[in-house]
Amino acid sequence: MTDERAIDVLLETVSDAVWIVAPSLEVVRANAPFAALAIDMREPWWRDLCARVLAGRGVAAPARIGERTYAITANPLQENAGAVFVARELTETRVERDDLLELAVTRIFATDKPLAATLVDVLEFLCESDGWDYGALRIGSDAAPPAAPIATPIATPIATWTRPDANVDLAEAPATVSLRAADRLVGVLELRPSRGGHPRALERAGGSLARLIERHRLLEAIERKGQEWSLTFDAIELPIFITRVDGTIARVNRAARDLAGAEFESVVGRPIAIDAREPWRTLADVVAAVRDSRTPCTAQLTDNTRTWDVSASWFRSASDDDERVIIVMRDVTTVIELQESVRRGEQLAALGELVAGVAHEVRNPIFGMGLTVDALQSMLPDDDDFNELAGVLRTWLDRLNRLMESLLEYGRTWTLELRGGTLGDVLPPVIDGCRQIAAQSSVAIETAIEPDLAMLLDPSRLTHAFENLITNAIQHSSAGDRVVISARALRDGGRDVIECAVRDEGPGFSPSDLPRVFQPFFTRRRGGTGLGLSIVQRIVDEHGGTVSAGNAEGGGAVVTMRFPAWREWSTTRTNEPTTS
Amino acid sequence: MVHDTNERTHHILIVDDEELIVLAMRKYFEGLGYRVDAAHELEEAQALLANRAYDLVIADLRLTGIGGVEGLQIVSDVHQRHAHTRVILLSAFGTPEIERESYNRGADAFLHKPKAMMEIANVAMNLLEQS
Repeated sequence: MTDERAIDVLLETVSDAVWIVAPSLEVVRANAPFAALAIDMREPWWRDLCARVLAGRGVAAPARIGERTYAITANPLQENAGAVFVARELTETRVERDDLLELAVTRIFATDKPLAATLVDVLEFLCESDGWDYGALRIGSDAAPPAAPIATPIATPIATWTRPDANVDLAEAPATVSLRAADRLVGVLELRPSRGGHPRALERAGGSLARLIERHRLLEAIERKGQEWSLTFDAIELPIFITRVDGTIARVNRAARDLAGAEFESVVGRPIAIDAREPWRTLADVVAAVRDSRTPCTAQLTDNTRTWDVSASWFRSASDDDERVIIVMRDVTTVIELQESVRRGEQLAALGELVAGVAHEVRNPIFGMGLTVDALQSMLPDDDDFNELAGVLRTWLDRLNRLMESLLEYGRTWTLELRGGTLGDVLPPVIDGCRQIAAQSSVAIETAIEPDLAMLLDPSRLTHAFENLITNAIQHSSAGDRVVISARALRDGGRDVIECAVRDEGPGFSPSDLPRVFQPFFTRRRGGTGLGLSIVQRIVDEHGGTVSAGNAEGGGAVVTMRFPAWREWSTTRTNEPTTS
Repeated sequence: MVHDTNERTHHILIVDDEELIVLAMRKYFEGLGYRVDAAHELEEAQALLANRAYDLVIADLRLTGIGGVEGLQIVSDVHQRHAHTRVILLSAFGTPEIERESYNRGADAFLHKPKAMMEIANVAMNLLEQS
């Protein structure tokens, strides 16, 4: 085989396009892949490339031919016989490089560097990964206009970068690329190609860089908006679910996540009918109702501890034309409790009225019976047996009468007259009033009452409550026991409260009785009406307080009341004039 | 008998719509030696008062249905006719306002039911001794 023949065989077996150009620029030899290239020989870049190679310089340059990118290497033949060109398709390589570039840009942007430094990094990467020598690069300031014609120097470059080993050929025309991001000129990239760098290739590089910057900024903006939206969404205290019409949860806010609880780490993407329990059951029903009717829908549900008002509405998402159901839940537990409390109060008032009415009507007959016994006794001989039995009859009548008085007291509708005052104003007279009964039972009364315990109070009502409690304590005490009345200010759950306790040294409450001691008519004391503590509870309730019963550590019963402290009043009272 | 009745000839009018209460009180005060008349309603009491100057009138505040305060009218009538006649009002539901009003009209005592007969009698005897 001759050398010539061997070259032909070689040319036809490679996949790269290979061709030889004569000094006349005529293609004198080429293989089959070259024919597929279809190079337009009138293109300036082609003429430029040929000129450089025929001048005796080896050139390597990228070229965009048709839809594909090629790496073209060209070397002059000996004795000015022309030049040999090899074109290798780079499209695949190019795609990879773009991916790499994007990755690099993302990484570089993630370092929080200033834009200029970032661009330098990106360009350095471009040069290194591309294998091209772009020579000197200059990045213009924001204010600089897109530099065309190219020769215009950029007044205030925000960064300059020169590749250390760049062989800058000033004779070559530099390429300038505007860097724009979100319609704003962010810089001008001036690239001076050397050794085969091609202006178009540079423009592409600049263009892709600008696109990446823009995309990055856009993503940043979207992310920021998304974060703002999420923060706002999360800041709403009402649980909000956004579902697709099939019930799949698309979005939730923090309150909704909290509602779902730790049990369901991520509810997004799950059907709203997470399980058969509440609230999911009702929420699923609501979504179905909204989906079917395309109208807003409301419901109320009760889960383990809370009651929720649920409102759901339908909307079409503008972005993806998809249908959504938005569910907003409102915790109405407190409202419901208040309503119940008001209803209980009304029931109690109605019951009270009835009871008081009955008690009132019963009073007269009791009075009549008492008078009759008195009259009878006054007319009969002074007989011991008869007197004893008349006494028994009177004892029963007294007891009946006390019950009626208690019922009247319990059922009476009061107009509460709350005013600012201190426990120190109310307690001492009550305690003094009880000392006589205490002395009769040989019970000592001790007090530990802090001064200036200010609260809103109705003195006569509160007096009545304390009378009941202290008398009760004395009645449950044995001779020699003490009854201790204490009152102090304290903080409870961020609120200022006044705690007042009446403690005795009697047998205390039986644990099984504790839940019932405030129920009307519950008593363990013979002859007791069982209304004493109920009346106390009612009065404490009227004062916005709470009352609880228990046993003291050392034995004996203790009834503890807590009232809201009235700070405004005590503040104005204790405020000293300031001198400054 | 606890009480000495020899010198008591005072005339008492008892007014109460409860016949049985009137009965018990009449027996009791008669037992103490008083002369006792009784009335069950306002008009009846007014008729008796027009005929006689009693030493003492013991009247229930309410002689008719709920909310009645006929006793106050009796106090006024007594006060107009017989200045020396003493009046005790009895009430099961007297408010402080009504009590005040009864004193304004000239009542001598306002007693809240229930009261033992002896308490009522003590008040009555004190008033009669003063007159």
